[in-house]
Amino acid sequence: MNKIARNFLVISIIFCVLVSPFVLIVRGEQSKIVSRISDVSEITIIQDSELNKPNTTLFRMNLTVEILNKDIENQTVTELSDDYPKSAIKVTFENTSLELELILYVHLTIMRYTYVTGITTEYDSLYFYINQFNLTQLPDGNYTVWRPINTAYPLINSTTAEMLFTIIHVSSGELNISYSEFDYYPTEVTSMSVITVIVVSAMLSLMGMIKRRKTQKTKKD
Amino acid sequence: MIPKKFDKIFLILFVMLMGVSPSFRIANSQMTLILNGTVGDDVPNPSVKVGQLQDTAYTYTGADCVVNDYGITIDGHVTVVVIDDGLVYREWRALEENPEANVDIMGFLTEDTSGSIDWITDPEDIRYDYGQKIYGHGFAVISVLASIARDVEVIFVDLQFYESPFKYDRYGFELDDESLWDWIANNQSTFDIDIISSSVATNSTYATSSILDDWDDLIDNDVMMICAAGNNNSYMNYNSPKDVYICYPQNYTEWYVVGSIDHENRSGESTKNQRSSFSSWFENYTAGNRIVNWLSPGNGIPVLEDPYRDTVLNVFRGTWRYGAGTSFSTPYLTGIIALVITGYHNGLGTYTDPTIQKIIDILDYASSRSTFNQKMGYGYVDTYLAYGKAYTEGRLAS
Repeated sequence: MNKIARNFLVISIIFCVLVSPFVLIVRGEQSKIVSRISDVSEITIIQDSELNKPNTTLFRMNLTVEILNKDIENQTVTELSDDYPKSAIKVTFENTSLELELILYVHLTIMRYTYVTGITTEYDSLYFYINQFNLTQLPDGNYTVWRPINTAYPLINSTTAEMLFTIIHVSSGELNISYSEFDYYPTEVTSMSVITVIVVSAMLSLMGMIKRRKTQKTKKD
Repeated sequence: MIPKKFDKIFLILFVMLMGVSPSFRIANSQMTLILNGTVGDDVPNPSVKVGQLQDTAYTYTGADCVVNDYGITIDGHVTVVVIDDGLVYREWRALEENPEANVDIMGFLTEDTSGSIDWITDPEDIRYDYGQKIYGHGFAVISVLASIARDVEVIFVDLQFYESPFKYDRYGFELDDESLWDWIANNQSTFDIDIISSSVATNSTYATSSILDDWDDLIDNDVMMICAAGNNNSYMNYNSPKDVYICYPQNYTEWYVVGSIDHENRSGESTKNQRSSFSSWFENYTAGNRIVNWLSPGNGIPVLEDPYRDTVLNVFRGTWRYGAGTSFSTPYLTGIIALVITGYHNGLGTYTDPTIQKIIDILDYASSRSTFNQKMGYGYVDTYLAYGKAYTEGRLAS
C-alpha cells in the first residue's frame, strides 16, 4: 500500500510540476467570452419611415447574436456605452461610389452584462443608409457583421473577449453568408482532473505522515 | 526519509497550486471589484448619502453645502427639458415621490404612431400603455438631476428606440424630427424652459436648417443646451469597434459638452481630480465651441434604478446604486445650472432669468481650472461658489 501510495505521489508531482502548468497557461490565454452572429435574416428596405434621408435607401437587417461564456463561472463584461444596435457592419462595395452609414443611438452609460456559462442568445436590428435612392436590393459587395463585446477592456475590466465575424457576399441580389463557428471545448474536466490528483495525493501524504508519527510514538512507548 | 521529503514537498506544492481552485478565483475576483471602485453597488444609507448629499460625489463639488446645509431648492421657476429613451408609469411616479430626492414632471412629450405630438401630463395616461419597451436610462439620468436640483420642473422628451424585432418602442421622436424642436421652441415661453439636457448621442448629423433655426430661437431666449461628451476615451468620441464617431449633438456649436471627472480614486490608482478614464474630448481650440466645456462627477455617482411601490410609506421610489458615464455628469451640471438660475432669482428678487453668457461667466468663475484643457475643459464647477456668485450677480443686477 505504501509503495503504491509513494508511486502515485511521484507520478502526481511529476504531472503537477511538469504538465499541468502548461495546460493551465494555455487555457489562461484564451478569451473567456466570444461573440458571433449566428443568423442574418430579414433584410428589408424601409419605405416611408421618419428615418429616411434624402438620396438614400434605408435598410434593416435583423441578426441573431450568440455570446459564449467558456468559463465555468459567470463572466461580466463592461461596455463603455449602451448602443442601439450593439452589432456593427462594414462593407466593401463593388461600386466604390457607394457608402453605408449605420444609424446608432447611444446611452452614454457604462454598462455591465453578466453571462452564464454556455451560450446566451440575443437579437439585434441594424438600420443603415446606402447613399443611392430607390435601391431594390442590397448592392453587390462583401458585408461584414459582428458583435463588439467588452468594449471597456482594458480601461475598466480585465475580462478578455473575442469577436467572430460573419461575411455576407452579395452578387446580383444573391446572398452567400459565411458564419464563424465557436471553437469551444469545455475546460471543467481538465481543471477537475488536476485538482482531483492534487487533493487525493495530499490526502495520501497526510495519511502517511499520521501513520509514521503513530509508529514513532509506539516505538518510544 | 525519502517518503517524508516527498510528503513535505508535495504539501507545499498543494498549497501553491490552490491557485487553480474555484474558491481562490472567487476571492481574486472580489479583489478586482474593490480595485475598480464602487460602481454597480447599492448606495448605503441613501437617506444620508443622497437625501443629505453626504456622498462624496456631492461633497466634492460642495453641492451638499448649497442644498443640504442652506436648504436651497429650485423655486419652481426653473424648467429643464430632458431628452431620453422614455419613462414608464412607475418611473414617473418614483421620480416625483422618491423620499430622498425628487422632481416635478410637468409633462411627457412624445410622438404617436400616426406622427402626432402627444403632451401627457398625468402618469395614469401611460399606466397601461405597453408601447414603451426601452426605458430606464431616462429614469437614472433624472434621478441625478433630482439629487442636485430638488423639485426642479422637468419636461420629458421621449425618443423612439429600436433594439430588435422583438423589442422596440412603438412611439417616440427621432432626433431629427423638426416637429419636436418646433414644439420646444414654440413652448419655451409657456413653460419657461431654461435648460435642455441630453445624455443620448448619435453618429449621424440630424440638425436640419429648420432645427438650427429652432436652436437659435431657444438660445435667443437664453435656453442653455447641455449634452454628454461620451465614454469612448477618444477624440470626437470615436467608437473603434464600430469605426464611427458618436459625436452628435456634442459637435454642434450650440451645445455645451460635459465630461466626467473622478471625485475619488478609481481603479486602484491616484485618479482623483482627473478626467475619468472613459471620458471623451473634442477640439483643442475654443473658437466654435466644439469642445468639452466642463467636467462633473460621473464615475460612481448615485442613480435610481428598479422603481417600485413602497407599501409602508405608500410612495413610489427606486433603489439607489452607483452608476458611471458621462450620461450622469450631464444632469449633475444641469442641476448646478438650475441652482445658479435660482441663486440669480434669489439675489435679484424676481424671476428674470440670467442670460446664457451670465450663466457661463458664473460657471467659469466657479470652475476648478482657469485655463482651457482639451480633455478637461475648464474642470469641474464648484456648486457652492457658483451659487454664491449667482446670488451676488442677481443682487448687483437688482
